[in-house]
Amino acid sequence: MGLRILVRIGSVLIAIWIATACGSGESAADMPGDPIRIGLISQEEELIAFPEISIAAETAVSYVNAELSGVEGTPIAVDVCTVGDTPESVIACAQEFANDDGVRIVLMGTVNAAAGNDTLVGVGKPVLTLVSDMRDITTPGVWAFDPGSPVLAAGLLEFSANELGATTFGLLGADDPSTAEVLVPLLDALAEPLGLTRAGDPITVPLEGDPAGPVKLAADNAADVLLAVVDASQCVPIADAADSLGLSIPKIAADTCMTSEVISSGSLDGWYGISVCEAPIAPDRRTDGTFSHIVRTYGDGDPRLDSSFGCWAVANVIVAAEVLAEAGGAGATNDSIAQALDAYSSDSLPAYPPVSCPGPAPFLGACLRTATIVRVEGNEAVPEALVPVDLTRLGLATED
Amino acid sequence: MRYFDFAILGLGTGAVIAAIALGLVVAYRASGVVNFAHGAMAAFTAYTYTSLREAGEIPVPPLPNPVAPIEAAFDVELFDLPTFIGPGSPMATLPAMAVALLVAALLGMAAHYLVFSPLRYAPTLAKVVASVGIMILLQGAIVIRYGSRPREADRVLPDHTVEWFGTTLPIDRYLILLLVAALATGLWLFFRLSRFGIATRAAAENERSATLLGINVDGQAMVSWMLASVLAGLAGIVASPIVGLTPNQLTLLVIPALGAALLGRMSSVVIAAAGGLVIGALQSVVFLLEQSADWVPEIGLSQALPLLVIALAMVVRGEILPSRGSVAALRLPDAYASKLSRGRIAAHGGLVAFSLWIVLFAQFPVRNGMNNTMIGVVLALSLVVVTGYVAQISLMQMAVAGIGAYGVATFSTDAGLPTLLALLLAVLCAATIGVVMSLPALRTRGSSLAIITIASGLAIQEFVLEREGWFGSADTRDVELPGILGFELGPTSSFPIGDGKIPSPGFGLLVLALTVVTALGVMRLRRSRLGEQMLAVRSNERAAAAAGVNVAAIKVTAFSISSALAGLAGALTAFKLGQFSADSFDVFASLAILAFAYLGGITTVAGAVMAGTLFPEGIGVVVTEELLNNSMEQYTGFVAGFLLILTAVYHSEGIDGFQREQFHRLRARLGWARDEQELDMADVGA
Repeated sequence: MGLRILVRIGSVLIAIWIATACGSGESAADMPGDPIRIGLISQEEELIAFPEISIAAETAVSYVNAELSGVEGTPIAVDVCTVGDTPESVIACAQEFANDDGVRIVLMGTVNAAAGNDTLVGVGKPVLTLVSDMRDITTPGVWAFDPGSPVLAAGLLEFSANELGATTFGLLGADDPSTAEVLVPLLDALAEPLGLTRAGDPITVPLEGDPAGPVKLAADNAADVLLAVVDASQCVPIADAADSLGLSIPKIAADTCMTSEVISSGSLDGWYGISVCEAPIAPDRRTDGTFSHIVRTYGDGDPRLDSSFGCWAVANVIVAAEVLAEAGGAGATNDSIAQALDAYSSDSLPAYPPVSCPGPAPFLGACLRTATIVRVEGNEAVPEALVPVDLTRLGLATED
Repeated sequence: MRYFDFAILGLGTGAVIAAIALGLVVAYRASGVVNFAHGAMAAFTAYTYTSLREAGEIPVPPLPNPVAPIEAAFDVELFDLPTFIGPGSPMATLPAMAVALLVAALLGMAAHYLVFSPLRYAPTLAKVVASVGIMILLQGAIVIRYGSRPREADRVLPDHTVEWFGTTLPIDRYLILLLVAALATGLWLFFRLSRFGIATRAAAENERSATLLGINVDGQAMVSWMLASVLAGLAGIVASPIVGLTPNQLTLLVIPALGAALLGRMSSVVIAAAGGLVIGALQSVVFLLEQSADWVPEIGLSQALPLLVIALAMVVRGEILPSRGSVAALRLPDAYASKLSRGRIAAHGGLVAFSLWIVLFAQFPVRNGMNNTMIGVVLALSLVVVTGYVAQISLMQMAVAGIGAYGVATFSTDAGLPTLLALLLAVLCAATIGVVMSLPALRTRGSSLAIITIASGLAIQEFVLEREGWFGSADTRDVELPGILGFELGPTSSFPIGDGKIPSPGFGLLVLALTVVTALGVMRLRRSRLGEQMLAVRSNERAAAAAGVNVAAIKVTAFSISSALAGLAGALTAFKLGQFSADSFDVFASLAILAFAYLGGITTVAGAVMAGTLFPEGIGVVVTEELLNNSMEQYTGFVAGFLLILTAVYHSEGIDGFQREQFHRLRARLGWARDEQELDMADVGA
């Protein structure tokens, strides 16, 4: 008898425990006076990760609330959902934000944004995204204040041809599908009008392991310039391998390599890089300006904020706040936010080139259409050139 | 000449494979354990060395701050325990190496004394699970301490180039080749000429006889484990600047290292070292061919080379692992089959009703967690059948689940077949793959089978899941929402009951129905004649064959049922996600499945339910994280590894067995035990 009672009491307690946890889902945004919430899906759990994004977003929220009075006097807050480098984890976070009516707008700080877009767009939730896939700038309901692969590709080639005088380029790519399926055809199509040709096949670098073989292959191709469109984790090993194999041609790295962690290693000395914005990537943060002010004042000078993606996160939180204000503040709806985004333009985002929405069809979501080239000197990266990109030419290239 | 260049370049990776293989051989000769954690030991030492060079500190095991979860749960501030210790200023290369290798030696000693010595007479399954537990624990510790992003490793060897034989290559490749050759030669001489080495060889040949001769087998094993761990650590320190320093990279090199060690039948250090170097060089040359020769298909040959080596070792060597004459061996955990009393039927019904309530009415995280748990239960059941009932260790379950996932996407979305038919075909395809991959089980068992299945899982991933086709994709793959009789039952489908949020209760109902059917089927299997034959094979293959059981047919049947269940779980995963990639079905996921299934109780259906609850993103984890404000998230891997080792060493029947034992013990104390059998169960572990 006693045992049965114990078992029953235990079962009831467990049921109450679980039910309590189940029922604790009241949204904070439902309460008056609460901050307006912005969702952030941040890729920071696995090998390819950008932990600086969530740190930068929190920093930007502090700046917006302190100096821009939030959204018409209502503070903003960012809800971070961290993901790994697989589409599955992005879908789980997208479902969470899709269910949460208090989250007004979602920032996609992941290279697998396309995986979550369907879920969020399906419930009408506006998305500001990093671009790694054409779908990120051609899906209605998704906006990008990030150059992404299209602008990056065009910027890389125009700088190589016009500034470096190259006629051939070699390509080291990450061993992922988007390199083979999106980037390579895009580069080939864009290179031809510029008088550039690709030397040899694109060489893929396995995500983990010794990159010396691929770099040696690239060196053997004898191109005028080497483009390294690789993941952040591969930047330093590839640069070290290029150095130890004596690869002396000009080398340009993708925005994934433009983090303070990579730059401060000094391995990329002499390389060029392509960045989301003109924020300095240097240990002592010499340049003044709004971005440096935000990092110093609200980010405790965290060196991780001095990065391409840190800059993206700061700018996107500011865009979200401005758009929410335009769309009606606390009373903003999905439709009013979408309308405000469609009409958004700015030339005063911190360290950013001018942005304007929408982009030319079919790239309606492409609100940033300028590539920023930086030059790495020792363990600092300094702005070198701005390369505006005509996306209508890109449209023709992809149709071909 | 170009091929020569690439072969030399591949020696960087080859040398690490060789050094890890040397450690594997040393540990196996000393204790008969195939240590899947050997790569993780190399990684932990390399991280420790880097930490010493950068900041002069070493990580303090086991947790960064053991009181952190308590602080988070109760919103209080207690005290901070040190997470790193050391002088706090960067150390020079040699002192840092010495300290890091000392840490490696202590790690090896701890692995022996705390884990493998207590498991000396345990079944192979327990040893494999324990080594997987150590691997998960070390990986978790690295992620907690240093994060998952790559770190810049400190260079020990010079990195300038030299021009030899008309080609310019980094000098470190040549130096590392010399280092491995010296280590292999030294070890060969040591085992040939020293008294310790000869005693170790004697114990490896026949542990029983060595013990009778007065050899301290346990002490000898401890020294060998320390030596093996130091070898792994040295490989990690020297080679991490070449192959990269991430939690996964060195850990995964254990697979090609196993291939190299198998070439030497886990007994020849010279062949193992040479095998490792050849694998590294060959991988580099095959990479060159894949990139530059049109006639070589780009099907991931270089990545799957270790499987080919293991297959070659099997063909050439036959039964690839030498057996040891052990003093005694404990039996496997009981595959307990409870009688279906009214009370039990009511309890099972109550559990299903409770699950139904969660599926229909709970809020998002819990509802989603319940779906994950149910899929996890099906995956764990797949291991109950093959490992729990037949004692065949399978480390490829997630790869087979991937076949189910891609199969259902192909048959439902691409071919437009109805959901149930697509599910059936996907499950059949998974079962077929399982049967094919089970063929090595007809010749091998125990650790050999574990090695083969882990390599098979890798091969399925590289050759099939990551390639464009019916059962794979280079990119992500979409799958249509499932529907039955006109009702849409996808996670994002609308459903008349519930709050209209994602995931839809309709999807939960579909998963619940399939999970219940699957669980009942496995319970029925246990009580069937086939189930009895499976247990007979598990107990003693020769005795079972003598009793007229067709051992080969039973093994193949078990693998096919198990693979069908794994395929079903994969298909449900695909439906849950709507869009998925091959990354979800990798080797580490398979190891995690085994870990959680063993933790729950790998021999019973109730154990599978426990395992599902503990699965990543499962309901147990979700509810715990809700209660602890997500503070435990980063500790998941570490805690899972720790619990797995504890389970393997102290309670091989898992949580289910433990709670059953406690239940019967309580009844016995209260004088309520029904019969002698229950009294016996209460005595277990007492």
